[in-house]
Amino acid sequence: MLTLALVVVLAPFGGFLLQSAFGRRLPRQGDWLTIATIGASFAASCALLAKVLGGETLDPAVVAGARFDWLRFGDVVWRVGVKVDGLTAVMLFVVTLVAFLVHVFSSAYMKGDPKYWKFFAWLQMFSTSMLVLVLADNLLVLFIGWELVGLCSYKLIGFWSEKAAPGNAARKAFITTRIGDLGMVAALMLVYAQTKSFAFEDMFRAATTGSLDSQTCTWASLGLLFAAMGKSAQFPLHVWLPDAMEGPTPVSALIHAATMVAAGVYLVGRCYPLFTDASLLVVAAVGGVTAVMAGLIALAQDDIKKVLAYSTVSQLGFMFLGLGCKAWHAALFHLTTHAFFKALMFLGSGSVIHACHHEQDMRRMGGLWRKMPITGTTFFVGVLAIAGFPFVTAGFYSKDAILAGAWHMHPALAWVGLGAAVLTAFYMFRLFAMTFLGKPKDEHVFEHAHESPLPMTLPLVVLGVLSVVAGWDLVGWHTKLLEPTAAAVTSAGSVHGHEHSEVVMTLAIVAGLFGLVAGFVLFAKTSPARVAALKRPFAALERAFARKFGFDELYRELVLRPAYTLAKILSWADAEGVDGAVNGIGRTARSASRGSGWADAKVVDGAVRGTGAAVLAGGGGLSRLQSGRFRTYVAAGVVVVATVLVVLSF
Amino acid sequence: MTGFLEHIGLMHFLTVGAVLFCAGIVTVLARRNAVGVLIGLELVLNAANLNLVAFDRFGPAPLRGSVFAIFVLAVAAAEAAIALAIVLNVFDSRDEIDVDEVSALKG
Amino acid sequence: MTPSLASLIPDLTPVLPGLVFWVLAGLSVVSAVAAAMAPKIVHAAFGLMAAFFGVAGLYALLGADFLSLTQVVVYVGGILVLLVFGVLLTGRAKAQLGLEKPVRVGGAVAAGTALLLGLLLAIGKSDLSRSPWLSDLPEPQGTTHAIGRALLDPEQYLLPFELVSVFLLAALVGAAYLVRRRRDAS
Repeated sequence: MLTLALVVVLAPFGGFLLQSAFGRRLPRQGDWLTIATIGASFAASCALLAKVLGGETLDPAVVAGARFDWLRFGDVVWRVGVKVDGLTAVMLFVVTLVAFLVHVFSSAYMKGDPKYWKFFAWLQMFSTSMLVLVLADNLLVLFIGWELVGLCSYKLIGFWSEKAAPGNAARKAFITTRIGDLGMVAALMLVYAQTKSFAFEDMFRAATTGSLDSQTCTWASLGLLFAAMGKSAQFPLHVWLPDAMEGPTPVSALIHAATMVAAGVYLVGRCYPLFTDASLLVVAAVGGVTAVMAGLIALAQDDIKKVLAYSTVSQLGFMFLGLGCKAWHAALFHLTTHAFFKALMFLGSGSVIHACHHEQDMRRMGGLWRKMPITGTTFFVGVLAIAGFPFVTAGFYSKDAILAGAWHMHPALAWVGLGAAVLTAFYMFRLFAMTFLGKPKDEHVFEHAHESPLPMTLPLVVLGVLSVVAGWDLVGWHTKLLEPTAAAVTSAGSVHGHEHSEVVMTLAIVAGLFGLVAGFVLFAKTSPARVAALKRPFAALERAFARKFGFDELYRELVLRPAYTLAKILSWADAEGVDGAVNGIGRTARSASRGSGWADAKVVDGAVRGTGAAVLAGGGGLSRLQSGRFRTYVAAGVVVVATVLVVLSF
Repeated sequence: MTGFLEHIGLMHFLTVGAVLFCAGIVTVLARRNAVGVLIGLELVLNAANLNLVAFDRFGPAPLRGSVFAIFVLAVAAAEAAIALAIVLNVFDSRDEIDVDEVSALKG
Repeated sequence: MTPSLASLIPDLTPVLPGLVFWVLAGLSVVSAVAAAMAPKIVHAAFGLMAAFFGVAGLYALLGADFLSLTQVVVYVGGILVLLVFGVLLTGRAKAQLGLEKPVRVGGAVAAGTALLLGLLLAIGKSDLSRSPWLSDLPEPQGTTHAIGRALLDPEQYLLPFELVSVFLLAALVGAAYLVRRRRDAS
């Protein structure tokens, strides 16, 4: 098993190295090579899955060689190891499968891009990082994988860096998730300080035996939650994900739908024993708020990828809701099914965008089903799955399980979830109707539309099939894989998503169907003019949704502007800043001393000019700090070190 | 006091190391000549090596410090070669080895 | 326990290591300060050479015979020669730069002194009472053989050793490349 696990993670890493070294010179720029390595990784994951289904697990505490000493300082040893249990096996399967399909899809989608080979190299590195994250047997290695996926996400969002928007989006994503990572670092230190180990089993033992007191657990788990909120784009750190859609669409499918954003859910799921009732309530609340808020915003978006992005945020909110309501099993189940149907829809949207020559505005699409039967049909399956079409689709089973769990724990949150479910069905059908149904709105776009080539449609079909059958519990994959893990990580008294309650199931069916039917009636059966008339009373609401509740503006006012002001104030302290201020004040005072009627105007004028001068001077002062003279930096470092040494010695 | 003078312990070597280190830092800070800065860096590395060897002799794990010092030596050699290549390059293109004039990193 | 002066003169053996240490330490420190403060860069280079020799002597005193010789061969024979070449090759016209302006030198010395103070405080604070005197340690065995074994032992330092070889190769190629391009340009 160890060999298999190593193949899973090392195959794409080898692919990354080879592809970055030789990719450009290989025939077809090496896409076949990367598809082969990720295929090997997928095959090994399947073998691992089969073994785990057969009852085997890879416990690094038992299996020799699965864990080795990484760093040793005196008595302190940091270890690195590989752990495979039911949860890992499922995640590996999902990650490698989606990654494989995305590689295949990209070989057609990215064709002709000048940096084609580089794209595949980064896809490989991303896959490696994500697999490291999943296979890690301790929090430290998980953190390393966590940061690596962040880096790869940055590179891939900003892949078309010659344009401004992708670069900005990449930076926004990187910085926002980094804010969340502060929580992770804090949690790491908290737990390590008490248990002297990063290994999951040591942490959990300490948490269950009580040697890690519940207050530490609560704070550490809240830190982890904060990191997960960043990675999984949960309110209020959700702002980066919609912008991340500037990246190439296969990237959105792989990273921002199926794998990396699910890492937050995985983190909470993996570290579940650390979560106390108090922190679980926070998890549930964050999830519930996010699910509804993102659903509302999705209603008013016209960019096909933005709708999908907010839909992803909303579905991740569902997963957090499930985790917070102790429906661990249901949440991870939903993670899996969501990965399939959301990757399906992203790739489907990629196919549409490809066909429409990089048109992403749904208002200029329409009627594409006739032109693109495979894409349209598989997309429709995806819509049904995410809307939770009863009894057939995978989405129904997983969503129902989450709602059932919420119903047991916090009925109020279950109603929130039901509301979000209605919204989901509604906006997804809106998206489908605007894109594939009705009359073509832009003849030019419609004329050129065509079905995509086989490498793009094949992944769609595979994912379409999985979006349906993943819910059927074939070969008992989730009862056999997830439930033992669930039993291990959740304490007694947890709610199993399986205890279906008739009421909840009925409500869930009604919610899903209501949303779908409402969407169908409004967007497929009603004339656009009539829809516009119906929408008019809600214009203010729609504007609020379309502006994403103004989070970007809020952060600009609350974070960026104060930081900017602070920087200006600090620069004031610089000699030249002081100088400028003195000038400004002197000028103001002089104007003021002239008294009489026009003094007023002069004072204002002087102050304005003074401020201007100060800002200018402050800018000069700040840029002087960044002198490029490395010895200034050395001197600063020396002074700091000397101060620290002296202070510590007393 | 005589004991301090005739019995040599770990502390003595650490002190010499500290002095060499600070002399190196001062050299880096006080010289405008790029080669002078390199001289300072070599002093710093030597100070670190002296500490490593001293810990090796006085500490519980024989050889570890010495091996590490050998690696530092190798890195120092590579650093000197590369740094001088850069200095010569800059000198050639700008006729300048004043480190303050070479501030392309300026913000 | 102060030995009387009379007993000190006939028997120099107990103080000899101490004496050797003070001589070598003095050599290193004085020449390091010279390297730092000498107005001419050539003098600084010679100061550095003396400091290298002093440190090599200290290594020998510590029983690190192999490192002591390597220090002489690599630092004095290699790096120092490189540095002197650097001085000579850039030695014309205004490139012959010495120290900074006195104010800056003063600042540098102040910073260095502060750092030294901090380091000495840290050394003073650390508990070295259990650490033996040099004279109490067992006779040093030659380390060359042991280092050779350790470097080529796969269980110990083989991998870092090979990595350093690759690193040196890369540095060599890089340096050659840098200087070659210089020729092309001119």
